[in-house]
Formats: sequence, structure tokens, C-alpha cells
Amino acid sequence: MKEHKRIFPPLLLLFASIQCLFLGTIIFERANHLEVGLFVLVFLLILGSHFQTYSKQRFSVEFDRWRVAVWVFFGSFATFGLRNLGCDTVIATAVVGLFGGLLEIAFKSKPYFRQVPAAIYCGAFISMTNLTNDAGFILLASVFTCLVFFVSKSILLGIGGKLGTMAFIGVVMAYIIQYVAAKL
Amino acid sequence: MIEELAWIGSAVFSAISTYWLHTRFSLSPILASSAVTLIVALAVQPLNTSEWVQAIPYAAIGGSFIGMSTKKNIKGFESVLLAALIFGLIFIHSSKFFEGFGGALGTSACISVLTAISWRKLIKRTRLTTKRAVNRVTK
Repeated sequence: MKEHKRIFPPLLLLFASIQCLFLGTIIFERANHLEVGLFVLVFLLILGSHFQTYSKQRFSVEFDRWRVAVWVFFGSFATFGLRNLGCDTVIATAVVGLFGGLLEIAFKSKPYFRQVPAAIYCGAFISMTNLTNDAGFILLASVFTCLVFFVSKSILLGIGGKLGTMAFIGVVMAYIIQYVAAKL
Repeated sequence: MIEELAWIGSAVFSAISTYWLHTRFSLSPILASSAVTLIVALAVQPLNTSEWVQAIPYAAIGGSFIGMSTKKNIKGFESVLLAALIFGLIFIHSSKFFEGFGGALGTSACISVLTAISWRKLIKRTRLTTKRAVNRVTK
């Protein structure tokens, strides 16, 4: 598979900045509380972790296949549909994830289906959004998440929460676009 | 206080059970995470009386993301426990601004796992440096 060396630093920066932004808002909101010190420590450890990844990685990034990444749309709209049918958010997400996991078992002989459950579960997190019930917002967030999923195969390998972080990046980007469009 | 303990407890339970299921039985991490979350959510649903009880499945799904980490990255149940406790701390004090953003729980879980890994590495390095310094002094 083709290696894409140049994309590694900006991709790592994207993941690091979204996590630092998330922790930064907690520190900002809790500035006058005693527990802010713990969050500052977590913030510093996160920064240290990303710097270590940057210095140790030999800058080889592989892309995922488009055929796999498009399953993000299935995951997000399946969860969105279940939620609109009156299903609880967490149950809808878990059911879609379970479907993805069972899909992998059902097509065990086909290597293509090994990556599909991750894309489906990643898409399901997008629809956990409670900001709006607009299908357009979910579609926009899914497009961004699909792009991030496609390029992030080699980033944070085997780290729990990677799929959620990718969904979060998609949702934040869709939110920014919606906010800018509303202001214009 | 009870609600905070319940959230941390459910996060710890789902993190450890997801990790155990996918490392011990070679189950796919996604299948393990979704199964554990579904069990917790279905168990809590009939008890849906107050807002803090309704938040338990959210803590559970976030905790299960921690358990999805591979054995190579997060070694042993102590590291999973540490990450789940950090997740509990973030979950309790979660940002008001990002409330309702999809993927926020995953981001919290990812931050917790990376922090737990960094913390353990830092402790290991500090011990090694101290040991070397003691050896140098005694020589």
C-alpha cells in the first residue's frame, strides 16, 4: 500500500489540537475550582504523549480504502433512523455497533469486512449528537468523519476512543460550518 | 456523591469487562464494547427515574471505549482501571460547551487512555533515573 509521509504531522496536530481544545474548555470553565490542577496535569500528559508519538513515528501513513470509509454513512444514518423511531441514544449506538460486529463474524472469510465494523461504529457516534435533529447536519458531519477515517489508519493505532475522536472532529467541523453559514 | 460514584463505577465496569472480553476471548473490540454497553443500557432503562440514572449508560459506553484498547498499548487491568478513573473525572466535569456533541465521550476515552499510558511511562522513567542515580552514588 502507498505511504503518505507528508500528511502525518498535520494529522497528528489535528488529533492533538482537538483533544487540547476539549481539555482546554474544561480548564477554562473550571478555572476557579480546585480540581483544575488535575486537568492541567492531564493536559500536559496529553501534550507529552503526542510529542512522543511525533518523535518516535517514522512518518509512514497508510490510507484506508474508500470502500471501507463510506460505511461511516451507514453507521450514522442507521443510528439516526433508530433514534427517530424512538430508540434510546446509547441503545441505538450499541445496536448499530453490534450489527457491525456480527457482520464481521458473518463474513469472516472476506478480509474487506474486517475494517467495516470500525467505520460503522465510528459513524454511529456522530448520531449521538443532541445539538440538532437535522439530517443535513448528520450528513455534513459524516462527510468530514469519512475523510478523517480515510486518512487516519496509521494514527493512534489500538488506542481506545480513536473512533470517537474522529466522529468528534467531524461533528465540530460541521458545527463550525453551520455556525458560519448562520452568521452570513 | 452517589451519582458520581455510580458513573465512575459503570465506567470502570464497562472498561474492564470490554478489555477482558476482547483480550481473553479474542472477541472483536467493537463487538465487546457494543455488547457491554447494550447490557448496561438495558439494565438501567427500567430504572429511568432521575437524570443521573439516565446518564449511567453514557458513562458505560465511554468506559467501554477504553476497554477497546489493544494489549500492546495498555498493559494489564491496572492501566485500564487508571484510564477509567481518569475518564470518570472528565465525565463528571465535562465541558458545558461541548455538551451534546457526538464523539465527545470517545474523545474523553482517548484522552484517558493516552494520559494513563503517559503516566505509566513517566513513572517508569522516573524510577529508572532514580535507580541510576542511586547506583552512581553508591559506586
